[in-house]
Amino acid sequence: MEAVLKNLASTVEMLAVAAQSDAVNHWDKQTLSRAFHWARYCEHIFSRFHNNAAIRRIMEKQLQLTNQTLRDTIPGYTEVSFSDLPRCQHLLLVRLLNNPELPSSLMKILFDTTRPVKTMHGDYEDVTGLCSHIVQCKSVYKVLSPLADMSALGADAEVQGEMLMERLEALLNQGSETCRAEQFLGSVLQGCEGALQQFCLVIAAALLTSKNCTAQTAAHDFLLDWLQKKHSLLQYMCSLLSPTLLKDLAKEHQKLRDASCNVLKKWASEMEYSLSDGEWVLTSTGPGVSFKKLTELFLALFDASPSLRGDVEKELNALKISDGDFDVTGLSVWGDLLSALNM
Amino acid sequence: MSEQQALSQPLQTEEPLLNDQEMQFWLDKAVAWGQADSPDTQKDTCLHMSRLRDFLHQLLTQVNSMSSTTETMKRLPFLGQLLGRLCWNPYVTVCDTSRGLLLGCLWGLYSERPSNAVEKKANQWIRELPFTAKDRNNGKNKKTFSPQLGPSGRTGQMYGFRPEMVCLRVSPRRDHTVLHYHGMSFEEMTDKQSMRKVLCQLSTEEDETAAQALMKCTGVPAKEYHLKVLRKKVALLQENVGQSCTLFNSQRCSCDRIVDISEACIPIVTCPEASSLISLLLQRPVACVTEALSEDFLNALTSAYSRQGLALEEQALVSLWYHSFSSLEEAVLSLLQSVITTGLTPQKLEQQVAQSLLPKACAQHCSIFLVVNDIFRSILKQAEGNESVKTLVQTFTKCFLRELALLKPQTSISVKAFFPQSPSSLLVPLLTMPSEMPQGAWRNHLNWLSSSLQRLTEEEEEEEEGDGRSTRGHHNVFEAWFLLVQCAHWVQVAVQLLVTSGTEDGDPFLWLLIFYHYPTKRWHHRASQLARAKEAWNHIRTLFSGAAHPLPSDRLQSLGTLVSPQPEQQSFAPSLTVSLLVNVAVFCQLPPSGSAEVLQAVVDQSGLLDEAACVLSSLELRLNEGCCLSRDTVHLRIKELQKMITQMHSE
Repeated sequence: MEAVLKNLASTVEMLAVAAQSDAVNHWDKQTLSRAFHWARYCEHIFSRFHNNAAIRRIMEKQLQLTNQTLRDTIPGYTEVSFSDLPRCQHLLLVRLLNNPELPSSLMKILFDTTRPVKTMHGDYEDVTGLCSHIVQCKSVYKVLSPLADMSALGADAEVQGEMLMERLEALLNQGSETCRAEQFLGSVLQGCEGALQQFCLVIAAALLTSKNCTAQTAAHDFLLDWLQKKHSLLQYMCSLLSPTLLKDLAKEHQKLRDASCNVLKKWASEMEYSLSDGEWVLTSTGPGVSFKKLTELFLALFDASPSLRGDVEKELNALKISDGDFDVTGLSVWGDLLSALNM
Repeated sequence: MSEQQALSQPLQTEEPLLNDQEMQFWLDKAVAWGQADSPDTQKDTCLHMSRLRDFLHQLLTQVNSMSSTTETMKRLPFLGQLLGRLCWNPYVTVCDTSRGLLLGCLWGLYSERPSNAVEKKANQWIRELPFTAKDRNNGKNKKTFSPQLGPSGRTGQMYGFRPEMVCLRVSPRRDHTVLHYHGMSFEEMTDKQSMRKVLCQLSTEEDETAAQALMKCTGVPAKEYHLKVLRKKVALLQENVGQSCTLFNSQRCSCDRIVDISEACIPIVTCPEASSLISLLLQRPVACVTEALSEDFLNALTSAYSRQGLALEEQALVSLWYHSFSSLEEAVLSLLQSVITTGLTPQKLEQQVAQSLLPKACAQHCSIFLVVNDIFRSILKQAEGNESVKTLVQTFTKCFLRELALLKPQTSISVKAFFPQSPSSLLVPLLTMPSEMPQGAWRNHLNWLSSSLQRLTEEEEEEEEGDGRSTRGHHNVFEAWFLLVQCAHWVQVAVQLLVTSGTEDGDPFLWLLIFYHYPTKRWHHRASQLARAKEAWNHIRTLFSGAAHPLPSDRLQSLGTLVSPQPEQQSFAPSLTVSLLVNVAVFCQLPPSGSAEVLQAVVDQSGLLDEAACVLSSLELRLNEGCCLSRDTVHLRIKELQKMITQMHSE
């Protein structure tokens, strides 16, 4: 264990050197390969030990110490946390490329365009063309992304949803550490600040992943519970979803069906009739929908669950009666809703 | 502007210097491509890719010939802008070649030890460029940049007080931006760090906030993420392609989308990640009238394949040949080139033909076989004496028939469909392999073949005498001859029978052999060839009869003169003589050593060692395959002859 900790500390120091030191000027191909080799090593020890709480704590302690030392000696030092370890190679690459002292010889190696066979340079795997591959991969995607495909959410949202689910399942699998799972979702949400729309798509994609195993069902449940606690987020999500998407989601998850039904009813209750528009509109601030979309969303829910239709009809009727039971448009949102929904 | 033009006056060099017009053309193109993302822009980009590659190549040569960055920037003031814009064009970066050329130009601008302020700023320009181009690609007008970029503290410097940077930034009035830039001098916006920054952004920056957050929180590295997203997109598109044709309304069907997909794949034909999609596109069953694969797509595939930059699985390759005549033609010609070399043993030849996948493709698609045969026909018409081509045609047909037999249970296409032009009466008799009939029946079979062919030639000669201009007879004879070439196993049997017939009449066989080697020698020419053949045949028979010992030198000599080329008279077909020789050597009554001795003497005299070796190999192959009664003496003799030939080769 001691050796592992030592290696961990050295690699973190190496990352710091890669980021800011002019020592990189003297790095050659061998050194570069070796650096990535140690970064890969850290990725490996993360995957081996991250489920082991005791070892994890020891490693975090070591990282704390190393970070402290480096913070004291290097101005503007960026810390490396335990959760950064699985992306250690990527961190190394980013730090190298952001280092003003990076020599062109290293850049040329990283951006080499000949397709390298996975060779071992001495004892270490060759990193020639590493960045070239990444750029090419991104470019191929950019070339293909304008094409219409079979997905309602898009390839990126689908992959992001899968990533979310995988991590969530792994966290929940480790026993009753639900707080970590909560933390995880919270940090993702925080990280998506300014891109809330995409976040909602990711949640939708996550809920639509279908592996048919107990782990996934548990994870879905957890996600739904978490979502329900975040009222404004749920509301925002409902305002974004297309009727088709809502239908697919409601079909799979009863909890979501009921929760979004409540959101729709809440919106309806907040609507006021605008004489100038000749329509019911939402006057409250925050995410909302038009009356037309509201009816479409209701219909989507009924499509997903025919039994819901009857329940909602009863409710709306009761509300209509309490509003005076008039059949004139513009007087009761419930009445107009009922007629729009053909009930 | 004029100042810059003056700076870029061409110098006296030998190489053609890139002129201003070219640079301006490409700069305008790069700007246009960056601004719009419509299908038309994409199409335009794809169409210009190979020309752009050539231009980048010229640029690279020129940049490398300059002694310093300062000089480069003087001569090519817009180089920086052009490279910067191109860096962010995925159609340029997706291709290994153009990406490599682009980076090569960038390296050329990078000064390791900048000697002046200009050079110091040179790289920073490269660094700055993606800040603007990045926005363009997103379609959003981002006014601020993620502060993670750039070493701490310099972010403000990036776009705080550099007016040339500001003017490059995407603004609603895009064209003004560009014009504004042109008015600025290039020197102001360069620095050593610029290039590093561009490259850093290209490979590590994430356009999407959500993606970045997820990567960080789930611990998935960027490389893995991007690969996953790409694979997911390819899988989704494959689902699209897999769908059968559905009509939207009476005019349009879903095949339109497939055309779009195939066109989008043009710039990425050589990318391994796209190969499964491309395979699927090629193999999609042709269901409706609309052409689902664009012509440009097929051409791109063909040229990538001929450059060997394409890795297609078997069925996809067959589909490509099926869709694109030019790719099929290329494949056939390249097979021809690779086998028309001396020293290929019959086994090797067969291996190479089979490996080319062409016989398999022919068995699956009748149209492919017809095209391949047309190519063979035209080559044979130009060089009818070329033995290697004839052997190739025979081997090819053999492999094709084998593949067809493997497929036969599934298909119900009659053999006639594959040989529409061949005389139908001769088709089945010739296609039947000798191994498929009892050996005793060979003689009659060949007699019948020989007389049928004779009749055909006589008809042609009559026609010629009568009308002189009618070509139907000529056509029939050619097709009969071509079929004989395809089924030359019967010619080989004819030689064997001739050699072993003893006192029985060998004339029909000899006629067949003459016809095979000299199809166009008509009338008295054929008669004279027949006479010469008989003469050679007599010489050979005597040599191997064992009656004369030591070998009569005069016989040897006359045989030698008959075979070797003479200035006055055409040499008698060496190939015919050699096959007679070898067959006699194998089937004669002499002991193996004696047989080898005689053959050695003749080969010595006439110098036809390689040809003899070839004939011997194919004879052995045929005997081994055809499950003929393995006469031990025959095989012993073959071994002995092979030993002798190997010895002579090593001398």
